Amino acid sequence: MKLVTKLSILLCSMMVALVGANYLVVNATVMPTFAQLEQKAAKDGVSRVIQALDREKTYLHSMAQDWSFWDDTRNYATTNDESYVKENLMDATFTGLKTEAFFIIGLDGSVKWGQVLDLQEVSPLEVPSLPTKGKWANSALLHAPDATENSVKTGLIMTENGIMVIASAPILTSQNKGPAAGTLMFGRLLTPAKLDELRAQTGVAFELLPANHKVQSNDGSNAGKSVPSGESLLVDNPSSGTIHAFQTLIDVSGKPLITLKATTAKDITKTGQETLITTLLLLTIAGLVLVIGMAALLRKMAISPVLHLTETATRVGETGDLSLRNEIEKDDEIGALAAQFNAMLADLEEAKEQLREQSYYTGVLEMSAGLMHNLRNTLNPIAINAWKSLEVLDRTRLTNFYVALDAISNPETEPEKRDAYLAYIKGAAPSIAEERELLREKIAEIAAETKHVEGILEDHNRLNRPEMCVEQVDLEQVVQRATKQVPAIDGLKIEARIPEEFPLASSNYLLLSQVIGNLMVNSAEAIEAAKVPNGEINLEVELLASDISPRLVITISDNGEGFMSETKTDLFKRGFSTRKEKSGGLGLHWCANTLTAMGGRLSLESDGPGKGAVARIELAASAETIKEAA
Amino acid sequence: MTSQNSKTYKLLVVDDEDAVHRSYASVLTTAAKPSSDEDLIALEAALFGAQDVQQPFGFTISACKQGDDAVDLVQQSVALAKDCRFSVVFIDMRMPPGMHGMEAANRIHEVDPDIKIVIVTGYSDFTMDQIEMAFPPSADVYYVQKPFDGNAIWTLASALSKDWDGQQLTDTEDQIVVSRFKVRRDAAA
Repeated sequence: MKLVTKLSILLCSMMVALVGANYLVVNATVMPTFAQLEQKAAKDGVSRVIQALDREKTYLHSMAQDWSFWDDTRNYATTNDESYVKENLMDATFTGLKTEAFFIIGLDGSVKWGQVLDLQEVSPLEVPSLPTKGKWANSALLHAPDATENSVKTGLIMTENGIMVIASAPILTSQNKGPAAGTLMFGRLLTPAKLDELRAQTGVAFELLPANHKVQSNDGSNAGKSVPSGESLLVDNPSSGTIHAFQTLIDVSGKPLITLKATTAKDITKTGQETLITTLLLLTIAGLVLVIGMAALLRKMAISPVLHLTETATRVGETGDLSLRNEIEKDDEIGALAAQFNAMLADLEEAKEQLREQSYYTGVLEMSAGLMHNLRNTLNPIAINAWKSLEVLDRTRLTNFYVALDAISNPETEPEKRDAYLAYIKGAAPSIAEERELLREKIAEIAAETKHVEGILEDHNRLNRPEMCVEQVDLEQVVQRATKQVPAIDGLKIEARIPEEFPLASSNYLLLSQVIGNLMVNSAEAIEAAKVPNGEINLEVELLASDISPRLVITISDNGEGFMSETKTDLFKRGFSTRKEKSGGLGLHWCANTLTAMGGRLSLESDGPGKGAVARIELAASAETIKEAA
Repeated sequence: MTSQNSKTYKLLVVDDEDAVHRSYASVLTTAAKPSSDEDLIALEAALFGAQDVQQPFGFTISACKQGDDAVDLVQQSVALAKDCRFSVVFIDMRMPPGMHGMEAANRIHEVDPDIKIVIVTGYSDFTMDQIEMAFPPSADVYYVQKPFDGNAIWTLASALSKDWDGQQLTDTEDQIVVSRFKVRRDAAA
C-alpha cells in the first residue's frame, strides 16, 4: 500500500474516531444532564400549578376572613337582618370578588343565605352538591361555635360544575371574638376559562384528570402506576418529545380529588441534540478541512519529497546509473536525508569508478602475473637444458680425445702409451657421439621451448589488445575523470571546452581517461618545471566531418617548458622521461601505443623550449551518434 | 651420480607443469651407466688423471601436480621409517585449479614438521615478508625463483637433505643455502 493511501486512511480514521468519541462523550455526560433538567422542569411545572391553586386558596381565605370576622355578618347570622343582604350580597359583589359561590350557614348546618352565580352569564347556577336552601351535609366545611379565627379552612371540592376552590371561616365579631355564629364560605369554580388563566399564569400546559388516574406511557416506564399525592410521577414520552408529570390533588377532607397532569416539552434535550449534531457536523467539517489541509501539507512537505527519493532510488536500482541525484532543496530532515542520499550516491559513483579502475589494474596485474608465471615455467626447462648442456660440455671426453690424437701422432710417444691412447680413442668415440646426441637433444628442446615462449607472448598480445573493448565514450566524462589525475599546482588553470551534444568517441573509457590524464599530468609537470606563475592547460575538441570515417581531435595545450624538435622522437621511446624524478605516470610510449591499439593517433608539437607544447589525439567518432547530433 | 651403496633421499616435487617435473628429474637424477664404461673411466684416469667424483648420496623424486595430492603423499610418508619419508618438498605457488602453493606448504608442514620446504615459483602473489609471516617460526622455508639453475636445485636438495638427516653442512653449503634461499634468515642466523 502506498504511503499516501496509508496516511489518508490514518487521517480519516483519526477524524472519524475523534467525531465518534466526541459524540459518545457528549451523549454520556451532557445529554443525561439535559434529561435531568427536563425532569426538574416538569416537576417545577406541577409545583407552579399547585402554587397557583394555593394562591387561589389564599385569596379566598383572606376574603372569607374579611367577611366572616365582621359584626354585620355575625349579626345577619344571628338575626337574619335582610338589610345586610341588600347592602352586601348583590350580583356585583360576586363579579367584583370574582367568586361564584357565597354561603352563610348556621351552626345547625342550615343555609341562611347562599348563592352560586355564573359570572359570565351573571345568573344563578344550580349546583346540587352546594345547596342554597336546607341543611348542608358536608360537615367538613362547617365550623362549631368554639371555632376561632385560626379555624379558617381552604381546599378543593368536587361539584357538578367542576372543581371549586373553597374557603370556610367561622363567623366571629369584628374583633375576631366568638363564639362562632355559623360558617361563611366563598367558592371559586375552576372553569375552563379559569384553567386557561392559570395555564397562562403558570406557563404550564396542564390538565385535570380524574382521581386514581392510571398512568399510560409510550416507553412503558411507570405505566399503570397510581399517581401519588405528595410527589410527582414522571413519565417520558420520547415519541411525542414530551415529559408528563402527574400528581394527585386532595380535597378538603384529605381524599384524592383529581390528578394533575403537567406536560413539558423536551426542548432542552431536543435543543441539546440539535446542538450536539450541529457541533459534530461543524467538527466533521473542521476535521475534513484539517485532514485535507494536513494531507496537502504532508504531500508538499513529506510525501512528495519521499516519493521523489523513492523514485530516484528505484531508478538507480533499475538502471544502475549512479549519476542520478535527488532535486530536493529543503532545510528539514527530508532535505538532509536527500542530501545524504545524494552524497552516498556520489560516494558510490566514486567507489564504482575506483573499483572499475581497480578492476582494470587488477586485471592487468593478474594478466602480467599469469604471463610471468607461464614465461618462467617455460623458461625453466630452457635454463635446465642449457645448464645440462654446459655440464655435458664441461665433462666432455672430446678434450681428452684430442689429447689422445695428438699423442698418437707424436713419434715420441711410447708404444705402450700409444696403444693405451688408441684404446681410449676407440672407447671414447661412442661416448663423444652420445654427448653430441645429448647436446643436440638438449638444443632441440631449447628450440622447442623457445617456440613455446613465442606462443605465450603471441597469446598474451592477442588477448590484451585494447581494441577488444572499444565502446562509445562521452568525452565530457572522460575529461572530468582525467582532470582528477592532475596534481594541485598554485596558479594552474585547467579549462576544457567540449560543445554540448558533441559526438561520442569510439574508444575505451578507462584507457582514454588514462591517456588524457597522463598528457595533462605531463603538461602540469612541464608548467611546474618552467616555473610559469599562471599555468594553463587547455583542452579542446574538434570534429573532422567525413562521410566515410568521421574523426575526433582532442588537443591539450599548455604554456609549460615545451621541448626541442630534436627530442620529439625520443619522447615516444619506452621509459623516456625528461624528469629526474619520474612521476610514476604511464609515459608517452604507453599512451601512443594505447591510442594506436584503439585506432587512434597521438602527436606532440612544440615551438621550442619555453614555448609550451600541444598534444593532439585523433580518434574515431561514433557515426551513429553524429547522425543523432546532426 | 648414484652408486648402489650410496644413500638415497626422497624428494617431492609439486608443480602443475610436466616440463618442470622433467627439469627436476634432469638435475637431480642421473641414468645408470653401462658396466663397459667403467673400463674407459679407469683408462681415462690412468692417461689423464681425471677422476669421477663419487657422490655419497642420490635422490628419488616423487612428483604431483596439485597441493592436495602432495599433502596426501606426505601424509602417507610420515607413517613410514625416516628413510622412506620426504626430506625436501619443492612446491610451486600457482597450481590451478587446486589450492595455492602457500596453503599446500603450510598443510605439509603441519603434517610433517621436519620436512624442508622450498617454494619455487615463476611469479609470487606474495611478498617475501608475507611468505615469512605465513609460516610458523618452526618451519624451514626456502624460496627459489624460476627459471632455476641446476646447481641451485642440486645444492638445495643435497644440503637440505643432509641437514634433514642430521649431517653437518659444509660452510659453503650452509652459506649458499642460508644467504641465497632461506626465507627466515634471522631465525636461521
